[in-house]
Amino acid sequence: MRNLVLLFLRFGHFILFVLLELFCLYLIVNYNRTQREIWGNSSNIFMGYASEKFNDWTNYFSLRDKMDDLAAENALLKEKLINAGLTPIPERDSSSALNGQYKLITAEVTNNSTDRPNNYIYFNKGRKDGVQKDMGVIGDNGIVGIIVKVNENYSRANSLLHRRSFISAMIKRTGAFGPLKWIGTNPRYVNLADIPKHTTVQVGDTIVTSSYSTHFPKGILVGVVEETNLPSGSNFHNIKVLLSNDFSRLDYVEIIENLKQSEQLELEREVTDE
Amino acid sequence: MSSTIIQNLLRLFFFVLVQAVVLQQAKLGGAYLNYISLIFYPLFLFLLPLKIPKITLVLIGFGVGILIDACYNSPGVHAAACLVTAFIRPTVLSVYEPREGYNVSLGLTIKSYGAGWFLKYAGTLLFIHLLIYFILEIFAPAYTLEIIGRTIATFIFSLFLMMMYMIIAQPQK
Repeated sequence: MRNLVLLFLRFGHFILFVLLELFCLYLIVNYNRTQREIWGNSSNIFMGYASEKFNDWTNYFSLRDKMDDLAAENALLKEKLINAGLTPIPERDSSSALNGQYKLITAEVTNNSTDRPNNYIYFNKGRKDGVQKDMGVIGDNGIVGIIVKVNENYSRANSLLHRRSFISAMIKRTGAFGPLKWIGTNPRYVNLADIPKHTTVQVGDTIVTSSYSTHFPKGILVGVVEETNLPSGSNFHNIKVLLSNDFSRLDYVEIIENLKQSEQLELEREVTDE
Repeated sequence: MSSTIIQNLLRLFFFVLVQAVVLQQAKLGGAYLNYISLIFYPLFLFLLPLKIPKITLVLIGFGVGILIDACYNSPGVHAAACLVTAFIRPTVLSVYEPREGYNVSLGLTIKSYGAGWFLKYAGTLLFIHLLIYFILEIFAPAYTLEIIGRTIATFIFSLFLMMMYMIIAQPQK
């Protein structure tokens, strides 16, 4: 209380000045015709401007929600495309057998690396959202990796940039297929191995996922051939693939649930058992 | 003490009368009719005693302004300018304080501190007063040039008028 009195003694004249000045401004804009008109017009303009800016600002804050919505919608559309046999990159024979086989779950990348020999990507969706081990993950520009670990709310994928991820891919033009291998240096490139030398490979050939993978639908974009050579004495091409996805800039991805994966795997297992 | 109050009250009455009856009607500037006003009454605030409490000064400023506004039929415009003038008067005084300091028993006049000092003191306060006054009177940023022009023109004539008064009337306090 004493402080308050002291404060008033010291700054009382200032407080009084401000209050009276505000009162004067009130008088000016209310009881002088010219000033009132100017004030009315200006404040209209100003309020219009301010509310526009404010809208921009609040829009900016709701961008995140909108982005989530858009990503979910995107996933839905891609799901429909894939299930209709129209993969983002159409294949040669699109069969309608895919109908309803794939479901997409949108997820946001929570952690990611590209600079280690084995890179992992973490997502904010887990078992609760239907994510399971061995599901494939695709981004906006192509494949990303395969889920290896899932808990209640989060999941972890082996990035394509992982030495032990062998995702089956093929050259779209010829249909020759082989596993994708990362050599562990440049995050922009992977190698496509096991392409026999009797098939032709050209620089610029598109690489897509093959139908031999249970993780991905057939025909998801991987990248394009950047360099190819045939080492002497080797039976296989040495193919360097430029990835279409920039792994250092992943944000939203779709996790692919293959509803028939267990059936497929069951059959394959029977073969190995025999 | 009470003689100071009476003297200032009389001066207030006289200044307001001069401002409202004579100077308000005076049209200077020929073709630029209304461009130059004569604003004389702030001299009352300049001449108030040195040791007046700041809070009283602000209140007096407001009162004088409202009085002039009543004559000019412009509620708040002069009062707002007077408030600023009254509020910054102590600061301006401390900026122009003579080397030997102020003498409490003397008035803030030419006789006490010289014409040069008074010109600086009254000029600074009057210029700020007029600038605030014309900003609020014209009130449109589009007329910034007119605000500045009228401030300067009015400033020159009004300050001249004040100096004339100070020299002719020779107020002691």
